[in-house]
Amino acid sequence: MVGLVLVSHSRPVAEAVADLVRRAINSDLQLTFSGGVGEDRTELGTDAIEIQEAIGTVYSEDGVLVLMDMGSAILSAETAREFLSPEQQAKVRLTSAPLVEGGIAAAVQAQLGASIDEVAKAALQSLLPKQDQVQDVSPAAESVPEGSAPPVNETLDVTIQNTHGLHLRPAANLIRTLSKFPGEVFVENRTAKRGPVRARSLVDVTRLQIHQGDSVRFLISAPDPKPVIDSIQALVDSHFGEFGQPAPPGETSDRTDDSRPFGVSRGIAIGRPLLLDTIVAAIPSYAVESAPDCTREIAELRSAIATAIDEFDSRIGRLRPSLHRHDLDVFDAQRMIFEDPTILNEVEAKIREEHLNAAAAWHAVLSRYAADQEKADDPYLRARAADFREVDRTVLTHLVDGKKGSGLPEQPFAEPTLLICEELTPTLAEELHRLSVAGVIQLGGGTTSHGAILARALSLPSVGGARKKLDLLKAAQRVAISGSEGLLWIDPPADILSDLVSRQQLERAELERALQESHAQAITRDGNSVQVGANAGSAQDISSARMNGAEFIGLFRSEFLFQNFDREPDEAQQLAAYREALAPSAKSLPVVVRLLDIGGDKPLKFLSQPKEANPFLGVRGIRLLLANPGFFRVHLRAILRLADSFLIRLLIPMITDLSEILATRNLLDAVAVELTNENLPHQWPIPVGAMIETPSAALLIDQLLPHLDFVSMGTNDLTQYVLCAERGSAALAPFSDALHPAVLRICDQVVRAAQKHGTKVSICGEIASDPEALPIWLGLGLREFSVAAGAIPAVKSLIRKLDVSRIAAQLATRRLSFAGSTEVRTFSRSLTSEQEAAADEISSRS
Amino acid sequence: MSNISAAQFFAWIERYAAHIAEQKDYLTQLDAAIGDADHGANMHRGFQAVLAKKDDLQNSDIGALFKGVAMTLISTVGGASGALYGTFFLQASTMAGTKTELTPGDFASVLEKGLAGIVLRGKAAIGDKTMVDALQPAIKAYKRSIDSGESLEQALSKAVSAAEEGLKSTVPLVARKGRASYLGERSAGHPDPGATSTVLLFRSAAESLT
Repeated sequence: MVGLVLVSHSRPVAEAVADLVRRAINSDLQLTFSGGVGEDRTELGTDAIEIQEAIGTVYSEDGVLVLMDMGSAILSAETAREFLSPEQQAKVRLTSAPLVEGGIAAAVQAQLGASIDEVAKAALQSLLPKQDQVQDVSPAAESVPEGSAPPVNETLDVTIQNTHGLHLRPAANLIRTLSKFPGEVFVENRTAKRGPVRARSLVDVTRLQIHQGDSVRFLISAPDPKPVIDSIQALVDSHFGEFGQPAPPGETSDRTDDSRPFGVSRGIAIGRPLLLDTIVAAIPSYAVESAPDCTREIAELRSAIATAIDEFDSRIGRLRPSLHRHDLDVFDAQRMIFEDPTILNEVEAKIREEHLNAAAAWHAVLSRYAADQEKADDPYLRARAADFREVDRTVLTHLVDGKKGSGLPEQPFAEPTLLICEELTPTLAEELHRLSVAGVIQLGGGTTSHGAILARALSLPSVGGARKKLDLLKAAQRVAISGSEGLLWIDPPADILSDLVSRQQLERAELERALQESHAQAITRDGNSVQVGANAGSAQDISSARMNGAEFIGLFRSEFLFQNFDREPDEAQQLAAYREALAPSAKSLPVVVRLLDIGGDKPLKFLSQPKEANPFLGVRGIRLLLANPGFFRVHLRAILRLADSFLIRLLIPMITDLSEILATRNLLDAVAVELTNENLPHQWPIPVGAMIETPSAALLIDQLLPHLDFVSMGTNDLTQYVLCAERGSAALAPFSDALHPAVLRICDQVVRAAQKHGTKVSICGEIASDPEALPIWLGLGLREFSVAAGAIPAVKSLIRKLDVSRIAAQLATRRLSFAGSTEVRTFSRSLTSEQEAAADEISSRS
Repeated sequence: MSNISAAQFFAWIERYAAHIAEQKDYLTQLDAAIGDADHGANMHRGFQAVLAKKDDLQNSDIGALFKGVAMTLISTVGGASGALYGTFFLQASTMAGTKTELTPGDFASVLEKGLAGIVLRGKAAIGDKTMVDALQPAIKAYKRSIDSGESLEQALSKAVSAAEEGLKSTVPLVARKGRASYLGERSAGHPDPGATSTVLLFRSAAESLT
């Protein structure tokens, strides 16, 4: 029988409630109480040790539920629970249920022999009958399906404008935003008469199937509903963060017809087909009877989920430079599925109540969600089924013993190979990049699936919807695809093949020409030469940067290298990791190495630090390095030794004022002396620069410049710090644009000061490659850019069309009058179209 | 730099008990303004119970000393401060282990471990108008000072100033944790009692550890 412990600050209260419960139930109970402190326990207060003993007296394998009054009673109960053994802790629950009503409701269930889950649930719902009777709770809340319904004190009716309705990405934005407020919010689809559901679980919200034009009601139960309402309204107005984001061009067509292949990512690919079996080997299924076994299964599941999330994050991290922010949001939404509370609850219930093992329970629940999603009317939403299937598979591979890998070889393919798979996933995409796969044939997938986005981001030719051809594909010797037309040939006859080969050569030649042009220096129409470099985080990125004509690596992010270390890497490990990653720079491409830039928002497994209330304003970048002098010293030694054989410039992240630059320089001087004394080859001095990403550094720029060899403007962080707008917040989308006039003014100051001082200044944020932003940066006087490798050809080609002195003159007259980023963008568009027209005219005349 | 012995740590606890005894009415008065008027009395009861175990505690290693203090506070204080200060010393004891003296640097790690325990237990952050507002800056100031090679005396004096600054910062704040949060806006304008007793903790340290 589940045991019950009643805790109150007042011993008489605790004792009397226990008496009340016993008399109300009039049956055997495992029930006890704790309360009061001091001599004779007459003082008000709670004693964790006494609570622990109380739990001990009613403890059994069935578990114990602890009900408390409030405040320190909760702290003491938590402390008491911590004193128990881990096995006991797993079976002892604290509940927020009210002491009297909860106590009685729990006791009723307990003496019926109910499980701890049922007892806890009964306690939590114990106020419902009373609320029904007193009728002081708004009727809207009565329709909330499960759990105890808190009183709703405000409602908001809106009409959804988003083209695809509230699918995963906007729903994820909604949940993320609401999680910041105390209280509860429920969502109801009034048009489809679905809900209300708690706005806490992604799957619950998406199951409401909210489409464009649907009328949606938000029911708010919060101590202070006003800011909640305002935030929801702001989200609705900004289309839940899909602000100004049209669907990918030509990709919105309805792909309900699964029978014919369709184009997913442009390009022609010809080669040998390779069928990839991504189905996890047999999913084991066995009964889990005892409670400890259930607990163990759940623990294994949770750890598999945690590992899967780590892996997912690091893969997305590595793909990040190739993806647009819009696309990254999609993955962000997918990430939420891993941790969705509704899914977890269902899986855990299956384990505890249906006695399924973790793998089988997980697969059953996730496949059902995938199947539900496939029933959606909207093709975009249907494509999201793939997201659930991938989450399912990823966790299963970690859960199932003797897991089956991706089935892909270690070495790149020797001959052109087209991969046939269910759908392209982030996990696969990263592998394909590595294996130089020629193209991808997806059996399912849609034009808006993750697989499609990834294929386009990686310039990998791909078609989708090839399921009906699977048998033919399996038997084929050679296949060919044209991604732009959505055509698939199986063992094509000689004439078609030769036609395809010549088209492919033409495509390649075009690509080659663009690339070749990209290897030449970019010079503006009025004769200003501009340096274009690439951002990188791995050897692969540097190779791709070289291929695309990068003149330097403007930002090498050290973070990805360090993610692979479980504990603090020593000097030799750091040096080896850097050497391997920088190898493709062939010691001829200058590389700006940014010192390890981490903080509370992106922690590593080592260099841990207390959780911060606001990590972006916390101990990150140089602040964290200076706070860990031991690690910092080793890090700098590794970089100076690296500089012996590579062209290294050192970039300090997150500079606030001069003291940090001086401290770093002093340390560099000191480690250089050490290295000399130890006879270790190294290079010092090397150019030292600062990342200008805090408003403080920008304002103090004249003080910093004498101590710096170059500066680099990090517009991503600078924008969020100048505009006080969190980067990920959908409601603040208009304030996430680096072209905001406030950001422009501050950048303008930095560029002028740097020019006056003769210091090189570059820009390396995402915004550097934005075609609407580039003319503005050039107009402000910037001549060095570092962008994603794939963007270099386009950036260079745009630079060649522009007349910078004209832009500077036009910008000078308008610069101070811009009121918002939209105005700046309109101005930039008119500027570019005018100049492009002029450039085309000149080239057609010549 | 000189190390801190178990005997000094016991002297610290004794000193703190004396401060609490002296200030218990003031602490209770502060708590009356925004809480349930028991902080001074509760802390006093707890630390008198600690003093009653003097014979056991004063000959223990540092881990056992802190653990003894922790368990006594947890079972005798009664209010949230018992669970919180108790957790602080309990976590600190796991870090100190069986050592009989600590370097000033070790002491920083011990304090940080204790802070982490409090943050986890009370789920409070800087700005919530709790003892964390005084504790966190004090520990940071102490660690920074030790790391930059200053003496224990300087480090503790900086910790006291940082705790006092932290306490001052709680005056205009609106409480977001604990009983005081029920008052909402009305909790502004009063110093937080927990942060006040935290300042005393560091004052006692400055008076007894060097």
